[in-house]
Amino acid sequence: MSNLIRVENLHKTYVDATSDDITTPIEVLKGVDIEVQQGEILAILGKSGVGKSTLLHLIGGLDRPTSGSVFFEDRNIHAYSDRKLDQFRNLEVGFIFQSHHLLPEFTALENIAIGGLIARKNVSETYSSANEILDYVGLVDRSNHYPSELSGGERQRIAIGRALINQPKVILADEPTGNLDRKTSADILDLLWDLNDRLDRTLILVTHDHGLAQRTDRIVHIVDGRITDQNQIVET
Amino acid sequence: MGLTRILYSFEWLVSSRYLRSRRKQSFISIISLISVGGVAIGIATVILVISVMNGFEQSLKDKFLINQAHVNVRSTKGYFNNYQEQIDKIQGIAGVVSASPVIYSQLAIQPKRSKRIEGTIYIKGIDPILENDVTGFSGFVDGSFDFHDSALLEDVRHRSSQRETIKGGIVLGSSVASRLDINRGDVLRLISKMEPNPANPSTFFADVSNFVVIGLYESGMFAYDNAFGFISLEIAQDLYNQKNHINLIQVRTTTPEIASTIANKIRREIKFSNSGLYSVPRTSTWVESHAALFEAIQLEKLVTVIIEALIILVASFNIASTLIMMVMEKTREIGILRSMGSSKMKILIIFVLQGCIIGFLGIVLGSALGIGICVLLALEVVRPSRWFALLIFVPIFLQVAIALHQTIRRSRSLKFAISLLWLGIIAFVLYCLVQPIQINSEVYQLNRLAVKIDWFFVGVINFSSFFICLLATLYPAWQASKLNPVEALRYE
Ligand SMILES: Nc1ncnc2c1ncn2[C@@H]1O[C@H](COP(=O)(O)OP(=O)(O)OP(=O)(O)O)[C@@H](O)[C@H]1O
Ligand SMILES: [Mg+2]
Repeated sequence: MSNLIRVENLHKTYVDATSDDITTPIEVLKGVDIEVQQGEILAILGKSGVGKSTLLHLIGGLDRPTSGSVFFEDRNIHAYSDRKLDQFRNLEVGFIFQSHHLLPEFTALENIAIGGLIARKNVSETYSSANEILDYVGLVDRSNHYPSELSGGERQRIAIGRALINQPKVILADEPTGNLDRKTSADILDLLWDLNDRLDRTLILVTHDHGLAQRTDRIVHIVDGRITDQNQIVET
Repeated sequence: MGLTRILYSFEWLVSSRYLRSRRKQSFISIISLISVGGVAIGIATVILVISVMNGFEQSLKDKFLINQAHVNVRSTKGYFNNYQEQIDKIQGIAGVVSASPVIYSQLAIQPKRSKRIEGTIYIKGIDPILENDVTGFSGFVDGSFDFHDSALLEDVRHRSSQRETIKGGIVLGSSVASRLDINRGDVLRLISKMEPNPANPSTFFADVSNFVVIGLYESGMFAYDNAFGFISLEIAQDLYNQKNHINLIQVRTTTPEIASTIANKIRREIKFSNSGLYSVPRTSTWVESHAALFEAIQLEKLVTVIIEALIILVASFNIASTLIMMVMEKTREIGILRSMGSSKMKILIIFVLQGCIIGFLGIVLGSALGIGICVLLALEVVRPSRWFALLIFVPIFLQVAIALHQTIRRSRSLKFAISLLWLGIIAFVLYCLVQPIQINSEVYQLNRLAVKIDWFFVGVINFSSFFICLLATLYPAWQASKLNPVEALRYE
């Protein structure tokens, strides 16, 4: 298996200017190294506030690190220009968030299609592939419904569908089932695993849930801004 | 190609959707509606006010021009002789249509019935035929303008006593006539000078001549109708003892615009001989005669344009604050779009587009409203009764009914029909209510508010307003584009 993503000595320090005049830098990531194989499902575990989301955002190019690099297919994405990075997020990455983060003014179909429109793909082709994706996530009959008219599980399915529109190589999911009940979570996870299985998408999953983590191919722990022993499970 | 690309683009989709915003955010869509209204009202007033001022200026010009010479030529020293030669010379200048000799002065008047002098009027001694070529004189006279040989004149001569000699006929300004209660056929005395009585130097002889009012002059310009009288040139020369002399040559040019060029030519080419000396004539064009008025109008226009520019500016501030609110409201969505890979530029364009849509709609609506009202103000058609304007309640009732029955809100075609109904009814109400406005002719020289739409100005206003709206979008759009996506996603 080839190396899809390689994170090298990643640092992230927040300079919090909002508290008082004296800025107190918060060092969240203190040299993170991870390698992710193509087609793998990786779980990132860690206590709340340890920097899991921060790491995921840096891997996905949503934010810039203080230092260190993220290689995607051996290219350092943080050496890219902002525009190139936007394009990278658009085409190579699919984000799934804890709260679905769908766009309330757009229908389910449009929410899925919008990534294709951002990429300036052919409009009708984009909508027809959005329809296929809607079928894949099992909500083809809700295509003209707005997010406010969907249940939590359905919204998360749409959010997963949205991540797929440009056939990204990697899906970054930040506690995708955090807001859902057990049964719905299970359905969503099945869908994600199916993505990995049938579509061979690489999946990086941030979670609190050890049970869920057990199902993944590999687990990494973040403790105090660093990755600890990759197979050891620390009780939290 | 370019346009369809915009219409199908991601940026267009998002910005137009945000403007129409659903439910929870219907607050925003009302605000954007208000912004559209602000721009529309600004544009409509600009167009309306400027059109009315243009109309006013134009109809004043038209009025001045129908009964006025384009250029007046005077000697620097009163009367001058062999005028025929000068007139021939002036008529030889390219651009001159015709020229006419006039004796022009102010005389005291006294109606025969009255015991006292009733003020003074300007008396023009004219050759009616030549005068007509320059000022269109005959078109304004009600009655006769044959100063020497008129049936009225004969009639009066028969009726009056032998001692009263009738000098000739006079065409009197209609407002003078009605002010003094004089009709055609009445006798008017003109007092041309006073001479000391040789027998008793503390008293004076008045040099009084009797004229029969043979016609009334009505141009519609109060300043003229209330101040002028016309008599024959020869009689006037006789009255002032100025045989073969005149003191004014009136000139008509091919178009009023070239008046000042022609005036310059006349000053260069004509020399009046005046008691042996040659002098350059004094000229004044029709614009110069009314310089104060036209300058005042010009200044007023300038001030209006400045005020209107401020209105548009306020409207654009409205757009800016709408967008700033929109950016705040949509912060999380901006984060989502950024996470999906839309660039800062795309976010910027989304908000610029929203502002431009607001500006464009406002400009189109405002122009339609402004131009519509202008057209209605100028339209001489009998309107339906103003009571019909109450039809405005029909769409209001419908909207209330729909608001009460939320169930039909889904029906797009119904919504569309209601909007059309609104437009139609508002147009009809305006049609009923907006009518030509009568104004006081003694104050304004005109008896009807004229409207003239300057299309070039409308174009300029539309363009510059759109540009101002575009500028107003830049700050909020830039704010939106520089949001940090991670923080925006975190935003509650
Ligand atoms: N913009 C910021 N400025 C300052 N500190 C920040 C900022 N963003 C995040 N942090 C801090 O960085 C740390 C890591 O945050 P992050 O969201 O990555 O944690 P997390 O591991 O995802 O936690 P959770 O499991 O609760 O989602 C937190 O302590 C947070 O307070
Ligand atoms: Mg997190």
